[in-house]
Amino acid sequence: MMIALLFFILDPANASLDKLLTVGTFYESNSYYEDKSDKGDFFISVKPELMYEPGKKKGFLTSAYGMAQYNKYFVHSNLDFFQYEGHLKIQTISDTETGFFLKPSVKTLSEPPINETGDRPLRQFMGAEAGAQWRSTELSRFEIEGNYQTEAVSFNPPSGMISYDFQQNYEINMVAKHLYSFLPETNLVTALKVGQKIFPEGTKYKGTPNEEFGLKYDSQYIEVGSGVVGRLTRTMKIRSYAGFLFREYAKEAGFREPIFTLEFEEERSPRDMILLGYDYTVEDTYYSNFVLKQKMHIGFGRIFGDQLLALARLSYQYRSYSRPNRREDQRLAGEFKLDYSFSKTFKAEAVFTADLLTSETLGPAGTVDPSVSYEYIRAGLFLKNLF
Amino acid sequence: MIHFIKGIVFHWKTWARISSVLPIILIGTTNVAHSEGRFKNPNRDKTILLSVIDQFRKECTHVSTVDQNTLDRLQEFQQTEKLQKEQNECFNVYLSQLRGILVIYQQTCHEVTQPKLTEEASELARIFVNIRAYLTSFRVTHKLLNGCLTRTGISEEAQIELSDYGVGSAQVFKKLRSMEVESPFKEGRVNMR
Repeated sequence: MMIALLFFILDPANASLDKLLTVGTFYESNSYYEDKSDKGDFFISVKPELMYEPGKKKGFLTSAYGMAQYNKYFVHSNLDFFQYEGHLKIQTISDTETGFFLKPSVKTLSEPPINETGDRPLRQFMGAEAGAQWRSTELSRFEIEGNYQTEAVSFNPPSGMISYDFQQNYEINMVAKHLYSFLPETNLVTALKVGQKIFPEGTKYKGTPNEEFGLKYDSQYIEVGSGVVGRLTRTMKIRSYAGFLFREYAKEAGFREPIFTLEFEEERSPRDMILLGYDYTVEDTYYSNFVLKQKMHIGFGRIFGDQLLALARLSYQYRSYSRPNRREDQRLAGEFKLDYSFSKTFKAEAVFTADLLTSETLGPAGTVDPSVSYEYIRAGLFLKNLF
Repeated sequence: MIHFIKGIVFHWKTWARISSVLPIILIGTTNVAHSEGRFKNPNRDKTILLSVIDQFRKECTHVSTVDQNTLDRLQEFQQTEKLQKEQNECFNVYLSQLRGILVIYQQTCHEVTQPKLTEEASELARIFVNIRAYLTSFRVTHKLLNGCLTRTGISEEAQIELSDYGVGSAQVFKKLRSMEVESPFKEGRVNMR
C-alpha cells in the first residue's frame, strides 16, 4: 500500500532524474575576511546535485532537489566545510490553472571562521512553504503563499566571545498577489505581505556586559505594493515594484517608509544581453533591528559561437543599519565568468570574483570602528558534468 | 487672374510630364546600378563577403537541421497538446514566421553550399544581405514565442536550443541573476562581524 502510494506521488514513469557533478579548484586571497593581515589559501570543491523533475505540466506533480558541497583547503584546515540543501515539492495543477503546492525544505549554511583558531558557525534552516493559485478571469489570477522557517545556529565561540544562540529564530510569512495581464506578456502585480520573526533567546544577554554584542528584538511587518513585471518592448523586459513597508520591533527603531525595486533586461542582439537594476529594500539583520539596503547592479552576457558564454556582473551596495547599533557599509562586489561548453552535458567554467567592503561602525561617542572591512578576491576553475 | 490660372495649369502640366517620366528614370538608374554591381574597393569588399559567406557555409547545415527539428517539435507540440486560447494565439502568430524564416535560411544555405559559388559581385552582395538578415536563423522569433508562452507555463517545452550550448537569453539572464556575490556571513556584532 505504501509502495503504491509512493509510486503514485513520485510517478517515476513520467519523471526524469538528472545528476550534476561540479568539481573545482580555487584560490582566495582573504579566507577569513579580515581587514588586515589577509591570509589566502587554495581549496578544492566537490558538489553533487540531484534534480527530480516531473515529465508533465498538469495534474499531480512531484519534484525534488538535493545538493551537498564539500570544500577542502590546502593550508588552513579549520576552513574546511560541508553543507547541504534539499527540498521536495508536491503540487497539483488543473487545466484551468487552479493549483496547490507544499514544499518542505532543509538547508545548512557554513560561514567562515573568525580567525585561524576559530570554528565555522553553522546555520541550519528547516521549514515548509505552501500555496494556492487560481484564475479568476481570462486575464487575471490570484496567488497566495505562506512559509514557516526555523533557524538554529551552532557555534563554538573563541574565548572572550559569546555564542550565537541569541540569533536562533523562527519566522512566518504570508504573501497574497493579484496578477492582471494588461499585455500578452506583461502583468500588473499587486501584493500584500505580512510576517513575523521571533527570537526566543534574543534578549538573554540584555542587562549583561555582553548586551552590546548579543541583542535581538522580535519584529512584525506589513507591506503593500504594486508593480509591472514582463515585456515592455520586443527586446526589453522590466521588473518593477513600489510599496509601503511598516516594520515594527519590540524596542528601538522601526521602519515606516516606501521601498522600491526597478530592473531591466535588454537584449541588444541575440547574442548580447544587459541586466540593469536598482533596489531600495529593508531587511531584518542580526547586527541591529533592520538594515536599509540600496543596491545598483549591472550585468552583461555575450554568447560567442554557441560554445563560449562570457558573463560579467558588478554591484554596488550601500547598507545603513538602524538603531540600536548604527553602522554604514559600502560594498562593491563583482564576478566575471567564462563558460565553455564541450558538449550539452559537459562544461568548464572559469570564475573570477572580487568583494570589497568598507564598513564604519558608529560608536556611542561618535567613534568609528572599521574592523569589519575586508578585501577579498577569488579565482578558479569548475568542471561540470550532467549524467 | 487669368495669368495666375495659366501659370498653375502650366506648372501642373510640367509636373505631370516629369512625374510620368520619373519612374522610368529611377528604374533605369536602378537597373544600371544593379547591372554594374561594382564594389568601391573590389578586392577588400569581396574578401570580406567571401569570408562572411564561408563562415556561414560552415555552420548553416548544422543550424538548419537543429532548427528544423525544433520547428517539428513545436508543430507537434501545438497539434498534440491541449492548449488554451492564448497559447494557441502565440503559436499562430509566431509559428508561420518561424517557417518562413527557416525556408529563407535553408535556401541561402543551399545556395552557398553549392560546389561553385557565383563570382558576380551583385549576387554576392545579395547573398551577404540574406546572411546578415537571417544569420541567427529563427532564434529571435523563437525567443519571442517563448516570451509569449512564458506566462502560460509551457515555455520549457519551447526552449531555444542553440547548437551545442543549449542557452537562450532567458537562461543567460538567469545565470546573470545567480551571479550575485552573496555576503559570506550574516551580520553579527562587530567582534563577530
